[in-house]
Amino acid sequence: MILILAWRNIWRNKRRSLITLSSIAFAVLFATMMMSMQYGSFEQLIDNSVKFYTGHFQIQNPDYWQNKTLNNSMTYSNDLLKDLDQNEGVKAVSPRIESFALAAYGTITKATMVLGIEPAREDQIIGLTSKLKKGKMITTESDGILIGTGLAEYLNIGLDDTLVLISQGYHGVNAAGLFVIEGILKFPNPMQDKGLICMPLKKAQWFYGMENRLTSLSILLKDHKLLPEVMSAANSLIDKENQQTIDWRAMTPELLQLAEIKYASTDIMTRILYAVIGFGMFGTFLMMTAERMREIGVMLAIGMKRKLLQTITFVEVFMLSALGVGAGLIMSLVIILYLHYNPIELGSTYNEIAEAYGIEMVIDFSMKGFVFYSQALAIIIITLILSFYPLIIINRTKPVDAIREG
Amino acid sequence: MLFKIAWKNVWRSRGRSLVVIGSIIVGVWALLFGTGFMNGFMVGYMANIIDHDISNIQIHNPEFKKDYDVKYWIKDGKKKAEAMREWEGVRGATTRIIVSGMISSPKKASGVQIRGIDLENESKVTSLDSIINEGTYFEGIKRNPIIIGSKLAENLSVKLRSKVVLTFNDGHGNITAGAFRIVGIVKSSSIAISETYAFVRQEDLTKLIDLGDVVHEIAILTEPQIEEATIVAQYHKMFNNDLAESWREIAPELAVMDEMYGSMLYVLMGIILTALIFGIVNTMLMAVLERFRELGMLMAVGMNKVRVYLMILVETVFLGIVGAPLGLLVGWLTIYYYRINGVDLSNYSEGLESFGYASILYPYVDTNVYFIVTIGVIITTVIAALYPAWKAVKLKPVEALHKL
Repeated sequence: MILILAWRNIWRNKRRSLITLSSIAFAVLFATMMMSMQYGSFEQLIDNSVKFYTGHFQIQNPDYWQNKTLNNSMTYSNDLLKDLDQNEGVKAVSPRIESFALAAYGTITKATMVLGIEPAREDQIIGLTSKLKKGKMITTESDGILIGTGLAEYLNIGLDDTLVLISQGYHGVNAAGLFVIEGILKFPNPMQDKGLICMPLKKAQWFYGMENRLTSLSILLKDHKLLPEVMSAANSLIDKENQQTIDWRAMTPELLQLAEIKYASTDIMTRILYAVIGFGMFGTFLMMTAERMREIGVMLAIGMKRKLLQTITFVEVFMLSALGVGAGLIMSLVIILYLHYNPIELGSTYNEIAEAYGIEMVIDFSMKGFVFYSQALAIIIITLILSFYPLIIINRTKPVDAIREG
Repeated sequence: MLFKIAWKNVWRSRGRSLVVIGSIIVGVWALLFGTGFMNGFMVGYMANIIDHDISNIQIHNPEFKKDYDVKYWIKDGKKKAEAMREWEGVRGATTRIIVSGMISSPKKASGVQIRGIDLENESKVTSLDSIINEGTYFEGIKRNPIIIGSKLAENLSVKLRSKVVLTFNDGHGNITAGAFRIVGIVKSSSIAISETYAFVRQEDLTKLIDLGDVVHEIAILTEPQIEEATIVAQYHKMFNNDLAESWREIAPELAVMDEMYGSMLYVLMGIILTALIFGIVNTMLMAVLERFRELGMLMAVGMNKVRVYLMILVETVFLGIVGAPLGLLVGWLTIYYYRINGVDLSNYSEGLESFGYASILYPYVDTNVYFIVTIGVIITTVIAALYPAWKAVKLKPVEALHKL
């Protein structure tokens, strides 16, 4: 009965209901767009940064982070690798050996960073194939290495030339070897471009004399939100005596700092937006009530209980807000879907620099479900709070005055 | 005549007008506060790095930046800095000796950039004295005082008055060492300051590097409204052979962030403005449609359509003119209040605090933003009135009179 009355009330005055409905729908649209954009840029920040090098978290020897030497490397088992691979939240696991070596070709030498990797795995984290400029990718079994264009230029070395690497290996072993250049990579970051050498993990283990040891296992997740879950799963897999987990927060504190600032700013800007749309919706509610004063007066005069009238009005508002939120969600889904695949590009004089630091100069829109439902919920709550206004008016109205005024 | 009717119309239905005025006030307030806030975030973040670390402009010997080799000092660096202090737009200029080396405590050692600073001018340029968390700014210890960052102190597990040893190559390539006593500990969100710098008196370092009275870096703080490029150009004109760079060149990642934030701000403001338009359109639409009868009557007695259209527009503009200054006032008051008291962000994160990033944020807004926002909101209001006014004109007088 109440439902039917409320439903009919809505359609009795289509124009009025449509205006209220659209104000709610647009409120949802704006709130989701804002949230999607803010959250998108937040995710973009973290994604770019973890893919740049560290991964979301790493498994290391407990002493490695403080003192990065090969003596603080760890042993690992293929079971650990397999278990991590099978974890639902994990996108990629990459075993690494990170160390330094002196690279020499002809009469030129340079201190370089050596990264021993399983190429197919590492490709999913820092992305090697897409950076390949000349030559071919290395495989797990190959003997060759990949170097940056900057380093190749500095050493004046080309494809198929042989590079000499000299370093100190595990427990002070002498490390020296000849390596054929199989490919040349273009890293956007000048530091990596001028000084990074990638070689197959097996080769690096041989070179540094550390069979079956790693300096770190880098893990990239499908979503940064899964970090606590996957990390605790990883914690139960590792051998606590010789291994520990360390997340991006600890590895890149400057990123955490930025992320925290972003989080706080998102929250405050969202509240400001709520104030604006809340007021917009309040306007339509107020007008809606004012228009219906006469009707309310008549209803009360012919003996309708205030409580009942209030219930009907509340149900009406609730239906309107549900419809409005539904419509708003559909609109925002379409618009955000478009923006997600066609992000707004920021024309910039800094494009090259941005690229070097792994920042994309685009405004990204997030398609995460929570963006939509959190905002839909927020708007429904705002609407319900605002709906107290007509309810209070109904409570106060004196039938005679109301009929006269109308 | 039209204005008079419009003005009277505005006040005839007070409730309705107040809602529109209210949403304009909220709109102006939101734009001001939002801008102030984002500025506060950005300035809070960047200022820590630019003001306390990089400064607006740095000058080096072009060779120096390659490996920070002590051999490449700035010719007549002190005299140049002296001269620049007199320039228009320069607030301060300070000289530094920069040496890379090792700092060791009895427990641990760590790499460090040793900065020999000119105490008086350094505090003018980077306000180093203002970020001292413990201890003093080179007071109380006579022989070889040193200031280090809080993170570095933690890493070395040293406290105030602890002794540390600096080891580095002097100007002739010999390894030298000097014992220093910690006089102060600084805290900053800048990782460079809190982890990698050690500040000592210039004269102490001059003796140790044994190259005579040389400096490696001049850092310049400019007046806020001055473009760094003009000072850089002036410098290059007067002294050649040196490399003068603004912070945008020294820390391009900050410049990128600055630009990203700027564009984000525009988009955010765009969303708020559009939300405002919709709020006003909806309210005005209801307001106009509610007045069917009245508008129909006006048309029936011979008011032409153009005039009805203009009347509604003028009404809206009046609402804007009343609302905008009030919004400005409220916005200004809020910002003024928070400028003094600050917005406490500590419940958002303990993380920020631990970096020495002030968890209290001070929003600020440039004066011209007030004008832009006011004009923007008034234009928004007019745009928002166009559709309802057009709707009103489309009424047929007879039908309108019949309705209701």
